[in-house]
Amino acid sequence: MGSAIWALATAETKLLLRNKTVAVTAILVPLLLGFFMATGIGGSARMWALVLSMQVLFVLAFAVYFTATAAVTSRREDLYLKRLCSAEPHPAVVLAGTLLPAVVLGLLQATAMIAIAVLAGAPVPGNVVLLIVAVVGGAAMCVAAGLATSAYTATSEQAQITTMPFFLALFVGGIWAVNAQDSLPALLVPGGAVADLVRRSLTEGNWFTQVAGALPAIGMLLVWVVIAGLVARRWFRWEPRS
Amino acid sequence: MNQSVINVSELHCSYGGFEAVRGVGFDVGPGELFALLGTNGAGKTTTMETIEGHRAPTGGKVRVFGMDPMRDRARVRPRVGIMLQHSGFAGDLTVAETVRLWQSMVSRPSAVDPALEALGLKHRRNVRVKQLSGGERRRLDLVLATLGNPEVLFLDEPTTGLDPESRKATWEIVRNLLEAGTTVLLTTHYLEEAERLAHRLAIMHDGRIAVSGSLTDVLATQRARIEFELPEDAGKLPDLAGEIRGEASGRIEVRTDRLQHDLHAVLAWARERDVRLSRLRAQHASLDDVFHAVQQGDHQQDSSQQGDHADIEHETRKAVAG
Repeated sequence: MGSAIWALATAETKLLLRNKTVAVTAILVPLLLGFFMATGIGGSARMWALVLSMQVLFVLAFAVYFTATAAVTSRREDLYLKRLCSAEPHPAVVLAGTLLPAVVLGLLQATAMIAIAVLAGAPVPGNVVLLIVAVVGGAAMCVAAGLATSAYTATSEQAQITTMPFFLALFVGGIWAVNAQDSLPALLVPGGAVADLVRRSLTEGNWFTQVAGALPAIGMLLVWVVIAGLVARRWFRWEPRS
Repeated sequence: MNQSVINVSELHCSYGGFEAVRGVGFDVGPGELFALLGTNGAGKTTTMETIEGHRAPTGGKVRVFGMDPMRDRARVRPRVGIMLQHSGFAGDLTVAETVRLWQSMVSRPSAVDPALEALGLKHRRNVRVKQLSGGERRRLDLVLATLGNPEVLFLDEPTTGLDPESRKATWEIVRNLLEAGTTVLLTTHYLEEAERLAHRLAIMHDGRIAVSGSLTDVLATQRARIEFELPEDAGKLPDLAGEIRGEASGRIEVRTDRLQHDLHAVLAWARERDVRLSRLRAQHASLDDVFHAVQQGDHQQDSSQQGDHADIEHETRKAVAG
């Protein structure tokens, strides 16, 4: 079924690019926000930690979370998901193919953001593994959250409202975690763990000590992936409510 | 039925508190077209979607190729094609992009262009699907459902909303598939469609099968009709096998299981007495008659019993024999 995932993802990418609202929100918004932050705010190590965290969170929020929610909701609204479910591939393959472009877009944009920040003078991350965990784990959390959100989103217009709470959670958690370093409560908020990992990846020092210090954040990120996944699993719908 | 491809017995399906399907059973043999008829809300689509493996039955058993369509999905799906009653497209993909996507999702794809050509969509291949007319979308539906060279094809109201030309094209394609050995389960509320295509059919009403069998069997559940007008003073009609309705003079209707016998008796009687029967008409029951009898609930077969499929078959055969 590898070819099915690939074909679904290709079709989904075309759809993403052909819908102007989604294309602008997913691609231009995070790039512009990230660019202005990198060129306007940087300076101290602490500020760079904030800039990079927010850049990663912008990408996760707009390119991954919003795109995933909007894509799944609008395909369901169009009864297109139902059609895909009448085809040969397993529904899990259908979902994977539909969500893959959002994840790939997120990973590409995160890479571009970090490159922009480093070119603008940010410190080169000392622990790349933690940065990768932050981006990949964050993307997993955001895809699962997107599925969960689409469960209570009837139309793609509604997605602009129903995505607000998780957006807030991402940014509030992120700012809190960077400002109040080593604050455990900040990690409990979805964006907190991602920001904490990004901040730690920028520090210098013993690799193992860094990873050990990041364990609470990694754990919380996992917890959020699982929670969002369970909500999605319980309430996700393939067809609109009739 | 030996080696049935689709086997349904005692099927029950509920949504919340509402039982949409209440004990449905039938078999479809290889290469056969079985049609499910009934008004909206009779339970046709729910029955269909359960057999397709879209939903689990609340009771009873469904087998396709002897397998459970949900549990054995991975083995059943590659061999079936599904045309849902209501489903949508990604409107921003073109016709060709949609078909190519489908092609890469099926195990045994057929070529795109001939498939589009057969349904008159080839000239629309580079048009976005959202710009297609309703009829064109329905035809694209059929292209996708048949693209994987299915052994079993589910068609849920395939010609609803089609113009007569497209309807004929659809029938032609279904006939070709039947000739090639495809088994088809069809729902429709066009009686003509069932008459033209179906080897056997069932009429559903209120979640149950009211009558089923071959077209002849089903038609035989309603008696044939002889109608004519008698002039005044024509005298008493001869004894007939059927039931005579109407006045001694005026419009007469005979309901009979023995059309030829009674018609002959009436004609012989009229000739003997030199009686002119005006507006004479003799006809077997049409599917329309059976359908309306079922809708009005005055169909003679008791469909309240569960598992009465065999009884109905038996009764219809009796009716044919009689």
